[in-house]
Amino acid sequence: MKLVFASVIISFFLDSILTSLIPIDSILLPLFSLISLIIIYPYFHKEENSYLIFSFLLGLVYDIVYTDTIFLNAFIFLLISFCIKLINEYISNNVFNVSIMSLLVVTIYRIITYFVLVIINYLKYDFNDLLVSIYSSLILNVFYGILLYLITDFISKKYKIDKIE
Amino acid sequence: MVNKKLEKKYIILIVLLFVAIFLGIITKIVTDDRKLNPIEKGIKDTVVSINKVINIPINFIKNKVVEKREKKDLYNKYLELRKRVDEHYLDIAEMDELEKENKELRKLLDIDKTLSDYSYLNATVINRNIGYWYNTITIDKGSSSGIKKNIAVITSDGLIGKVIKTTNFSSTIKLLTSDEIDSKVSVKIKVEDKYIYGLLTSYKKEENLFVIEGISESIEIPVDSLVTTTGMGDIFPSGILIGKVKSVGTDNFDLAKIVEVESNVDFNDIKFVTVLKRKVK
Repeated sequence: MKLVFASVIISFFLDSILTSLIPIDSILLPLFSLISLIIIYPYFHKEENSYLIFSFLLGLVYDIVYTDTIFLNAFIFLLISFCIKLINEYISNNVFNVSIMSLLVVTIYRIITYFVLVIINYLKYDFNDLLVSIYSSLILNVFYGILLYLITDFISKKYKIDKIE
Repeated sequence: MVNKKLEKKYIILIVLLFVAIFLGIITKIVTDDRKLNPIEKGIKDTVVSINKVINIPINFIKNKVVEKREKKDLYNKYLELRKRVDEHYLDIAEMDELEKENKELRKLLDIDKTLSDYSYLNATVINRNIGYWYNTITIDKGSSSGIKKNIAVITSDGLIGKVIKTTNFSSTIKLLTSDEIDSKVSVKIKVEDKYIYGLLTSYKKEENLFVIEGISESIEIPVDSLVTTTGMGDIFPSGILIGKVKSVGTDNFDLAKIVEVESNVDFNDIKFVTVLKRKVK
């Protein structure tokens, strides 16, 4: 459990630190809090409900601190963690699958937020904008997903922390 | 069999209802000008304070890197700056003169404060692009430093936006680049000795250009004229630079001019800002 909290908190703060270093038009936009949801899933084995609650709370804090849109990210995080749970029933946990899941999660997150904001008439619909936002956040996040997976894997093996394989 | 079908229908109905309610709530939250409640403020303040502490060593390293890079052509820069300092002396002398004159004239007219009076407050940007779509940035000064809602925020290159939310130690700034209707700004273009008034209505993302509308067809506007705020509409003080006119065209009906303004501010990469506190209400 300590490992879970540590990786989520570090990802959460890295999100903010990196955004003040990287310009918004670069192709390296971080969504690390979201990626950490993939990595921590195996450590919640047999406690899937608490995993869902955890991701909801993470989304809520993300909303309050970063985007000022209470409940939007909370529900999207909940939905995404539900997807992660479903995917994890079919595939095993390894570097390749983690990177595929990161790709999926980032894409789903961008598409859902974009369409919610378009539906409520906050943004004008422009497919190009959506495309740019997706590909500009893929590279860094997949890389971070792999890195975080390897680190947590190493630590969990060293200290024999239980997780789903 | 029938029961199962009915059940499925109910589930779909409930899900749709839930989505509709969710969208309604989000609309209210995103577009409404709401105030943050104390719990939100508390959480935000805590995280921002932790963030500031984490940022200290990172900024230290960053500054060292910048320092090393800058040291390379120090001499050329020194020569250039010395030239500029000489020019500045002339400007300062002229400004002193004008300020004195201005004060005396104001005394004569019995004016206490004008729309262009404001005080400065410098701040650092801590979060920039996390909410990719929202066109907001977060700075490290809040209501404890006297920042209030709807105050103008500038950088050394010009106007960037206004404060929309504050907590004790942080505030959120809506950038001029967002498409929202309430971000229309009243501006004036300086043509020779006259000012021409218009409304800044939209922003073109690809070219970093602002669009000014509401200017009559008959007026000639030269390229490179300066565009500043007017101080009307009670948010922005008067006389803050927005940019220079880049091109002038007419609208679809040939009735009004559409002026495109190029801003010097790089809205993708804002690091330090200045908050302007207007003295006149």
